[in-house]
Amino acid sequence: MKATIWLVLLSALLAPVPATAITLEAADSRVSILGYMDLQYSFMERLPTCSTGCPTITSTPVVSSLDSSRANLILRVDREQMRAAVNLFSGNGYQSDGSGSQGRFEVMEAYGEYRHGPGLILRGGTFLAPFGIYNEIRYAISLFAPVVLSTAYEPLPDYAASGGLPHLVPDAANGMVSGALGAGALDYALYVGSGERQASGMDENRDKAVGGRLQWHPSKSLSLGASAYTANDDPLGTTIHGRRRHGMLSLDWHPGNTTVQWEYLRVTCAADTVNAHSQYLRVSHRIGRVTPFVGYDHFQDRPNPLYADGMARWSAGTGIEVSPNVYLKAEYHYHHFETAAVAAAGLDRAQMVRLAAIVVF
Amino acid sequence: MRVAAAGVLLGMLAGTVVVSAGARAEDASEPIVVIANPVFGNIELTRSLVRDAYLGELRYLGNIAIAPISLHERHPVAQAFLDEVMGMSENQFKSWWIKRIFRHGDVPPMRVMDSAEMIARVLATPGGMGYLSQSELPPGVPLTVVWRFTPQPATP
Repeated sequence: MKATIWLVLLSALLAPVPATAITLEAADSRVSILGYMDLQYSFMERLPTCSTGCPTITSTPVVSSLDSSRANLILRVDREQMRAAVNLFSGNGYQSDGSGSQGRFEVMEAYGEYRHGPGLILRGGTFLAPFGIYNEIRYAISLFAPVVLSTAYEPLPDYAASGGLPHLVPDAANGMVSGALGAGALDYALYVGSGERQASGMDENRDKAVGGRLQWHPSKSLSLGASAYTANDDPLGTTIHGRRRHGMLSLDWHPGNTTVQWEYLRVTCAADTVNAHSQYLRVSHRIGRVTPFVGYDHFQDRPNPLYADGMARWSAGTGIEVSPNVYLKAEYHYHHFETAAVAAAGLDRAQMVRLAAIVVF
Repeated sequence: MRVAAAGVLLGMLAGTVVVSAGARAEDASEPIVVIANPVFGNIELTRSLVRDAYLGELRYLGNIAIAPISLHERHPVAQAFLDEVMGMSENQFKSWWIKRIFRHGDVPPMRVMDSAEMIARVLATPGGMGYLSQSELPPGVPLTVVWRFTPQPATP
């Protein structure tokens, strides 16, 4: 299976002129194969970390890794008003130490969709929940933004270990009604999901998740969004966080070749174990094939021993579009932990460098 | 293994199709007509509307699902259309659609190999719109000619 997938990827890239996708077309249906994969070098200085309760703050080791961070293979079949799609994902496919998924592909999304018209689209299956600007394409965000995602979408790796949530944005949804109203001026999405699942992927809790997103487009270059989501991680009486509520505001503005993006995320839990704010502002400007950017990201979670007073990240970098199918990225990120206990441990500053090559088709 | 071989064949097929399209050159200095399925009736299909349709930014006009159809990217008339109507290079158009496919899950314009196939597809597809050399459009075909333009000669 794995060999088959990589042969398809390879054959697509060896085609004399790589197309936007491999597409087989018939009079009333289309089969498209899309691919995304990257190779990343990452250098990260020591980060503060601690286990729940945080008796002492220790540090993670310095990271210097080169690996295939993400690979996705997406099969879409469109037939008249219907669509079926499968999104296969492999993370850290080639880490030599045997960690990650070791090259195994897993099903990230699998769904069917019926488009009754622009204002009514029904979807069922398992798919990434619409939330904020990027959540439903978070596997391919590097195509649109820096390789290092904002803390709203990807908290630093020590956050969950220190008592935080495993993710601050919704995971998968299972049923959705969506559409565009007012000649495309307003997009809406309302969805339900199984909520928090076990590591096995099983849905063993009693409560289901609901969420939604509204995106208003007052002009072709401006989008304003609001997202909300709630779920309860009560897997058969072993509640840790209780009912959680997530809200996000988004601004996505594209004046000319410039892109300005701002998002603010708020997450709370019934058990008061999480009370998080995250926001970022990023400005990029495209000059031919080169798109430099600068960004600021701030994350705070008051009950968390590492992030009680917040953490700021300043970023600068650039993306280069070598061709429509190949992108290079180079980024520098500087982190400053504002919590006194972290500073006392001498771990309040950390630098990170990320280099990446991305191939899409 | 059989499935793997099919994957390789699929990629090779994509390449073969491109090569054969490149060999079929037509005179790109002839006037080009933008055509549409009669289902559009009296709706005025302006240049910016057609551009938005080919960019995937306009998918419906009323209850009509717009189905833009492109000649293959290496076809000289396709390149003239990209220059004159879209104001984009071939690479810029590809790059736009790659991002659009991932970001919005949209389906890019269907591609056809030549004018005869373009006419057949636009006729058979409610909401279909396309373009071709004016001389390739036989008289009496029940298609709406939206507008026509003459490609500017390339500057040396």
